[in-house]
Amino acid sequence: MCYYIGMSFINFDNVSFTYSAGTQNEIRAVKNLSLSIEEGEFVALVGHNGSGKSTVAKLMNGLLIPRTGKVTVNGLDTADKKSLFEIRKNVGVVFQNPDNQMVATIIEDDVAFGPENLGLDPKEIRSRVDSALKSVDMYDYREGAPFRLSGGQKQRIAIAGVLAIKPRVMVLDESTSMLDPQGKKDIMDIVLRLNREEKMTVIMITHFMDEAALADKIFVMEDGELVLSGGKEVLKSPRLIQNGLGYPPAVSLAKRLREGGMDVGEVYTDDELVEEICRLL
Amino acid sequence: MRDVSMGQYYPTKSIIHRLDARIKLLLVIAYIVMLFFIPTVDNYLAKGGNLSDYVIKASCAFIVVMLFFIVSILLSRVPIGKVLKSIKAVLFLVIITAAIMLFFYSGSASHVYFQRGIISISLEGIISAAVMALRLFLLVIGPSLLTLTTTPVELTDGLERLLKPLTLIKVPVHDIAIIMSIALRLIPTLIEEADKITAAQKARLAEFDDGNIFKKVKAMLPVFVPLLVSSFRRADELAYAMDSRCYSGATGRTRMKVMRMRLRDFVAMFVMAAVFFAVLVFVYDFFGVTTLLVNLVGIAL
Amino acid sequence: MSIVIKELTHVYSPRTPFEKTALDKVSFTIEDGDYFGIIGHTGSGKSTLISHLNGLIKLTGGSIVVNGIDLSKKYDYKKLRSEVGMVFQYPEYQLFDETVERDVAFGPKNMGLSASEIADRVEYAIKLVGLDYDKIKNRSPFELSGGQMRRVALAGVLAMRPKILVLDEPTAGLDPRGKKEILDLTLKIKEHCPTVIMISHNMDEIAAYCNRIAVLGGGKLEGVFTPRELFGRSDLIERMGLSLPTAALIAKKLRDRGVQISASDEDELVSAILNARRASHA
Repeated sequence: MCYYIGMSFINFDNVSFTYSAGTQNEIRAVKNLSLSIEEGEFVALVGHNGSGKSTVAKLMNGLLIPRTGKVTVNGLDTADKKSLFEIRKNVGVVFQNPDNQMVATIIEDDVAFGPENLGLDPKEIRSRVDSALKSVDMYDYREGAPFRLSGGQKQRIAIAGVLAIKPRVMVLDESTSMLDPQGKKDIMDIVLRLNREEKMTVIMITHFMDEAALADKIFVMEDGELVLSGGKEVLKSPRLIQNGLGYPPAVSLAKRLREGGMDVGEVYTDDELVEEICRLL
Repeated sequence: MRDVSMGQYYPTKSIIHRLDARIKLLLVIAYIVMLFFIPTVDNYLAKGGNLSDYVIKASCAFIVVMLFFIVSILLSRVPIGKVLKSIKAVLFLVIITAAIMLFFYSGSASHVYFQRGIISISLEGIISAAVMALRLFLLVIGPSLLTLTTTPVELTDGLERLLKPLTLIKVPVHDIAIIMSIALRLIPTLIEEADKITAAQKARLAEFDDGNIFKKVKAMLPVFVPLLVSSFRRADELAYAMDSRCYSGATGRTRMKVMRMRLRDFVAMFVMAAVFFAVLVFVYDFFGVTTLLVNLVGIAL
Repeated sequence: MSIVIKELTHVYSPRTPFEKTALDKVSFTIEDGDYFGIIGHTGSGKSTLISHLNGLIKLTGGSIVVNGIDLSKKYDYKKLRSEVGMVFQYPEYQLFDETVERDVAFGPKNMGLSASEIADRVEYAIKLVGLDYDKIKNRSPFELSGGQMRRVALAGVLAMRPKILVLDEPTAGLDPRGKKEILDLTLKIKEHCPTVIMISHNMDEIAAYCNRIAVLGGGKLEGVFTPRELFGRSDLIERMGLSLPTAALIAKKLRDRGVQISASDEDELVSAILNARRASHA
């Protein structure tokens, strides 16, 4: 990984972050982390709870500022207060708990919150809100209250709230971890579409390896440190077994089939595995 | 119904619902002020008026207010039962007040029907009680029509915009409004959470309805502490989410829903002004209208 | 000893416009020693069902007999609730006391046990959930890690020494390691508390740990199955809006592509595919 500074869209240069620094509860959440993310990539950042991955999400748009090192977004330093507004316009974050990121009691008002903060014209806000809600298939609910929605639907509203700001990067900080399987699938479908069709940069922070299997680039964190990074081949690394994250299901099944003498090629997702098995039978 | 955030809101999309929230707030204030322009029996008599004049003036004024109110309810298409429901909460107060007026009228009474000790029933007492009950009733029920036809969000928004001039004297109107709106948003979530925690503690054999008040408060701790902890956690996460969505206070912020005065708002204001004027006409006998009425009634009798 | 549920019916806000039937004539039996799974879509009546088991919801229709306690008659609810331990979703959010020890002691204290008995049970429960009793007992539950907090909450229920343990989504929000640890812990707990009932959305967990599974949909019982029976019926799973365990899902995807394979777990799937491969190349 040798990029010129300023070339990658998001750049972490030897970043460390410590919670409650200087007290006895001091926690070094992120240690000497360097990574870069290009525009249009689908990136997965995986690790156990407490590995520092959510801290990384908050470092990405200046919600937290590195203690040492530097985070830049599109060349702007997150430590520079004057750049924060511009950075947050470019990097939106969907958080874990759908109940804790809604500000308004009416769905469309909630989605409007971001563009309203940008100071846009009311007509422009309306059109952004409508198209964001349509994009997550929640337009019909726009005048309702979020209170009675399922977790998955609430999370779709949260995504719409980020989309209405029209960021270039969407960070999903364990956004599927509280959802049921259907809700999870809906979110993944939306995120994949945004990346593939609208060329949005997606950074998925997760501990579900089946979700990570959809990414082009994978970072693995342990105890605040980046231990693996690269393309899909990371998903086959034995380190994932050692640290208990495990392989994506398709990877471990393919491995067992190979041990049984079947010549299964490189697969990472269930559909790829099914395709490969059909080819071999 | 658990959805506290919608308050009493009764959706019908009527013209009353669609009125600008700011205008509705102003109208309710005008309505309340108007009610106070109708004098009490005591006041009127103290200024040297006579009782029969008062009865005619007050009943004319009340008839106008009632008509206005009934038409508003009909226009709002909110079932009358819903509107009357709000009176339930203060019914006790109304009855007590009226009863005090009825039995303990202390002013100089012309017709006394019954007297024993401090209890006395007089014509003035009866009229006083009726006027007081009617006034309280109208006072409570008017604002309730506002909350039935306006969502809490619209109310907060309307209030924020009405109070905007106060920002000039450094009142943080926007901050207050956003705090109110977040509170509205979080209340149902917290109620739900309190229910869950209560169930969990009950499963660990917690007792909530035993003993005296101190014991009860102590028994609530296992619910109250986790609820507090979780509120702080939620507040924290919400702050991150708001920051992340480019929130930086009122400066530079626009709104999607622009409140614009429409014809119906001007009509509503005009109607209110007309009603207010009519009440004043009857109460203060402008143009001799009431005198004329008194004479007409006299002739008729 | 067992749980016998007959014609259980529950209606929320009856005789109002908000009337909603949450459970409709549900009948089944949970035997001693079962690791019993309950699955169903959000709103299928699962939570209403388990809340009946320890009397948190008053029985209004049908009958339930839990270890001989007939809930349709007058019963000692303290006895029932200490017999049926209930661990709700995200139980770490109920922790409230200053120390782990005091928090875990809450249930036993409410049972009216003697001080020495309470102390014994607290130590027993904290050790049972795999925490270091001496190290953790005087710490504040709020400064523990998420996984530790969940264990402490679990200990708080286990300290009542229930004979039946009900777990509502015990692994929700945990990472893969945490999930596995909690699930393996339930097997250890089962040696002390013979009947475990688990609600979960995660079909891989249900398939791997439960011996019998009740499927609820719209308040009605669709049936009680063994994992093999259930995950062989992809039609039912789909109709209920649920998902299949990974192995069964891949088998189904292969069937959709014309490969005749059935499997309810990973071992079966691997050998079925390898067999199909041998057959096609023979």
